[in-house]
Amino acid sequence: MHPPDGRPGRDCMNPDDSAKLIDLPGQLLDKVVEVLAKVGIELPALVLQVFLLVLVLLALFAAVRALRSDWRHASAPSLLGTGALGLIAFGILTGILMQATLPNRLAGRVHAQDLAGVRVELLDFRGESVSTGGSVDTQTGEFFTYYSPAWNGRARTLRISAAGCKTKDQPIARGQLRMESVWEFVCEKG
Amino acid sequence: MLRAVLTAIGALLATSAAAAPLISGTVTAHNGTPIADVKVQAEIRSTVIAAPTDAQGRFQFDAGTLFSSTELRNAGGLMLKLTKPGFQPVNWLVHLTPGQAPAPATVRLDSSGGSAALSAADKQVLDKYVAAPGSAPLFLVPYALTGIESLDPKSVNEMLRANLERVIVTHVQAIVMGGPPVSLKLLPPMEQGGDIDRMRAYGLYLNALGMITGYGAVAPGHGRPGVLDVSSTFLVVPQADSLGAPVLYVDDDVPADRIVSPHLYQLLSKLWGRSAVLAMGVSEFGKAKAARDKEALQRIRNYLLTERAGAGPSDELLVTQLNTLIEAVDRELAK
Repeated sequence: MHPPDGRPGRDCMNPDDSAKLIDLPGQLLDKVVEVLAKVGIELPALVLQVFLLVLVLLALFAAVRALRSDWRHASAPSLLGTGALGLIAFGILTGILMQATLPNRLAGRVHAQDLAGVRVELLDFRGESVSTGGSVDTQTGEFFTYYSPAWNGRARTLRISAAGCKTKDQPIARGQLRMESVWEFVCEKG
Repeated sequence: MLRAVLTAIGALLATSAAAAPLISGTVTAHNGTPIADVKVQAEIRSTVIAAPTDAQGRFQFDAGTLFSSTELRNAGGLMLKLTKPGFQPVNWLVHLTPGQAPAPATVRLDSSGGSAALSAADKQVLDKYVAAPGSAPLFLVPYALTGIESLDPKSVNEMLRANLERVIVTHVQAIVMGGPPVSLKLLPPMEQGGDIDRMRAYGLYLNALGMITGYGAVAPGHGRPGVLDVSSTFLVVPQADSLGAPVLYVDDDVPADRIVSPHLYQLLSKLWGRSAVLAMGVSEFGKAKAARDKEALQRIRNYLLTERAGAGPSDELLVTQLNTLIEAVDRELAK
């Protein structure tokens, strides 16, 4: 709901905002996994996420243990830190679960002048191909490509390729993973 | 209790088996001719090979034998990948709906550089020449002629047509013996630019057995005025698989004023088999017979005998044809 002047309203939460809030743990998890990948820890998303969850749970366990001895006299920062760790652990777990509930296939349609030899594949956060299938119907441009979101994390990029053309990478929004989208492909010779 | 459980499991298995979709379809060419031996592959997560199309262009397979029930259950569709050399590959998505058998697919394959690539202007010109399916004509696209301003392109094309007709038609008839009579038709000048794919597309659109085109130019270096260098291309349109290679190139050297050309003979024999040589002999015989030239007839007879002596075990048809021709020459000489 937007006010008449067109600016986003602040007094009520629209459906987009709630969707963003629900997506927050997943987005945070994506960021963390990307950071880990950047420092050279390139493993499938689930491995990194579980590793992260174990680290956070260990830290949470240590923090809770320290608090348990005398929680009444615990300092505010240590209480806040423990609460934050609990929230992070919950966020990671929620992110993993949300990831696992994503469809294991992406359906869509490529719109191109010539569909001969056009293929699609899904790339993960490392830019690695994680999908199978991916042939495109040469008449309609429809395709199905399959992957494992639970293991690979959500697909980040749709790569469209065709013989004699430069490959085109297009980012996939979270919402597009659950619906059929149309993807434009213009062949640039290369 | 155990019986009830077993019955339930049996019913479940039966349901699962019945749910495996039967995928079927027909593959045809542009003109509706069924295409046999098309490689049929099915893709979900992996790609597996199904049985190829039969003589009627039909294919059929049980998806349950190629993919696991889990894979089929989780698949939104099954991509059919249809390929055959000389044709553009086609991917055809069959949507899978639980409990419903997919409708049979009717897939059309275009030749590589198929008729779909033709412009509307090209099609408008070609429409007047489209042949009835099965009549199997050859079409001659006027040669691109350069450096022959002194010659009338029409007469050059007529001359080339006369030369090529003898060679190609005889050769093709020898191969498709028993089939429809092969004829040669001349197309009006069209954009070509030596584009093989375009020629093939023309042929496909015209229902042609083959297309002939080429390039001609006066060759001043040969020391024989009026000699025409010709580079011919004979394209067999993909449906005529029995003719072997889809594209045959003939680089020849046709004297404009004479049919006999040893160089051309050698090249044609090497490329197209010896029936081309026979065609030349038939042509020469026709001319010598009309002119009642006994010297020419004797020369032709000697030439035919030499050709017969050089025939190999696989040239049985050629030898029969040579014998028929030698007998005809003998009858003329005896008159």
